[in-house]
Amino acid sequence: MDVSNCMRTKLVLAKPDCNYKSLLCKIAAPTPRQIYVVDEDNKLLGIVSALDVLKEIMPSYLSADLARSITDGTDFLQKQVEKVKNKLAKDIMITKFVFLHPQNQLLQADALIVEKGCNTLPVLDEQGKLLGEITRRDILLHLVDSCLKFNHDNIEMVDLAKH
Amino acid sequence: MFWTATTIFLVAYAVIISEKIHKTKVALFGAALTMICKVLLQHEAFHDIDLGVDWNVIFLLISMMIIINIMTKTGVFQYVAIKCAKIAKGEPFRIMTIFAVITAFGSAFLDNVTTVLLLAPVTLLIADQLEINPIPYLITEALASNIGGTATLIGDPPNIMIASKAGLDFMDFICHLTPAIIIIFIIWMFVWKMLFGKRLHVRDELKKKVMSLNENEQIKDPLLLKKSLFVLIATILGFMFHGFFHYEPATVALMGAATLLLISGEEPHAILADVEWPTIFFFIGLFIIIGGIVKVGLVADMSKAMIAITNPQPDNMTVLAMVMLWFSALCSAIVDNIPFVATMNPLLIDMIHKVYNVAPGAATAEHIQHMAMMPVWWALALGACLGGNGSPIGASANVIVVGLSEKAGHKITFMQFLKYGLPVMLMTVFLSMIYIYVRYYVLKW
Repeated sequence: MDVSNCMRTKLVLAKPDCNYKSLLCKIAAPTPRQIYVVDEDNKLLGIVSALDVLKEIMPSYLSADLARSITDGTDFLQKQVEKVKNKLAKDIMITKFVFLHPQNQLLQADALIVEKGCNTLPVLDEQGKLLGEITRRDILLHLVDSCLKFNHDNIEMVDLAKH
Repeated sequence: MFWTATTIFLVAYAVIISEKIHKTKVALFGAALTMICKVLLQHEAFHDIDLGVDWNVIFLLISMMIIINIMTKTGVFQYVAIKCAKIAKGEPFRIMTIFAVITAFGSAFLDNVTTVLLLAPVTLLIADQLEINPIPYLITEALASNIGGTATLIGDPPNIMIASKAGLDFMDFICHLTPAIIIIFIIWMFVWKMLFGKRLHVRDELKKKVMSLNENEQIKDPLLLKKSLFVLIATILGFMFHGFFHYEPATVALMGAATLLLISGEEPHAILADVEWPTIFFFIGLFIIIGGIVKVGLVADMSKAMIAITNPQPDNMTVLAMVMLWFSALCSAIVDNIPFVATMNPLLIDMIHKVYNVAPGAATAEHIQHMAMMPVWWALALGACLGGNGSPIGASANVIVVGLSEKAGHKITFMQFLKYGLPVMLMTVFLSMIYIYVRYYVLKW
């Protein structure tokens, strides 16, 4: 099966001059794992992941051990956001990324995701224009629904807050 | 053979200074060449006390690294730093002073780089909380680590090398260098008070943020902390009495490291992997290269030149001590003080033979530790260690602080470091000169 058959086409996009606070709001929206930074023609310039957004507000000196001593973490984080608020998507995005073409096999996507340890891969056409993305979850869903044809049980989500 | 050894030595040192190739690679390749060209035979390189690797230095370094690697896992340094910032009640200059004291004290017993590596993140956090520029604090800590490291035998590698070559013990350093460092440190802090005392002010609500930090969260493993402190104190006591019990410092350190490794429950693989092997092999390579130039007579020629310039007498070496102090300081500000001291040690030993007119290799402790010679050893130690403050590349602690600060978004330029470091270096070396002159030539203690 081709990547084009199971890729997602509803993505979160940003322009290179999108500021940090906008990126934060975009990444906080439901479902997106990464923001695609594109030019006017939707050509992919870079990717900003949730980790990249978090890294910007985390000072390089702050280890998890040292962070335990900060009693007012919210105040600390707000201050860090203020420090980086003028940073733009083009300052944060990674520009070296692996990608797939729509005609690539799903098996290739699976191999690439395992090999690179990434979660999501962009799908580009020959000109580098962004067409969609494919995630680990998409591949797993395809595996369960199409390839193996399992009769899976009804899966109930447990709300631990009510226990 | 003379020109082979000399070429290996000069080329190796030139490449080390240029920093084009990692110094460990250069030293090891130079050592291998020294042995393959048969300048030094393998037996001499590995087993000869005068020409080969000084295993006392190597095992002392490895053992102290093991103890420190285990101790850093406890979080005690971060605990002390946060606790002290709270004791200073968030006052910026008080914090600067206390952190300088902690760094100097820590560096006197531990590795300088480890001390600044542990304290710099806490410093950056506190500067962040106080909304002040961390650069003066970080540079102060680098300078304090180099000054503090001068105070003891185990504080800085040049001291370890000098102690091993001159047969000096831990208490010799405590009696002769610690008082000098205490005086220098106090005067330096007074100068710092005049420079920064009135300039550093923060609002009360920011001080409260420092006071709200919870230092207790830093202690990760209280049991390991107790064991580590017990072993460290026992090891320091061992150092104090190693001369009395006729143990070499490396034996004491190895006992401490092995005991802590045994009782800590830590996996030896992880602890030993964290030993700074590149530094250890740098030392091994250097010892062999230097052994080569000692054997072929280059060091003897250098010592003749030194004698011609300073005219040392068996009972008076004042000029030599003063020249040694400033020459070491200036060289150490520009190049790594380890290869410098590695070269000066055999040079001084050779010079002792000539001045006291003893056959090669026949000098005893009576000559090496002669009353007239001791100020020269102390001048070498003070110059080599304090000289490191003269530039951002003068000492490893400086390089680490500059790197950490830049990573945290506070770039320290070469000139910016020089603005703090060079005057401190000149002042501390000048004070050392007065100390040496007054103590050994006026008061004759």
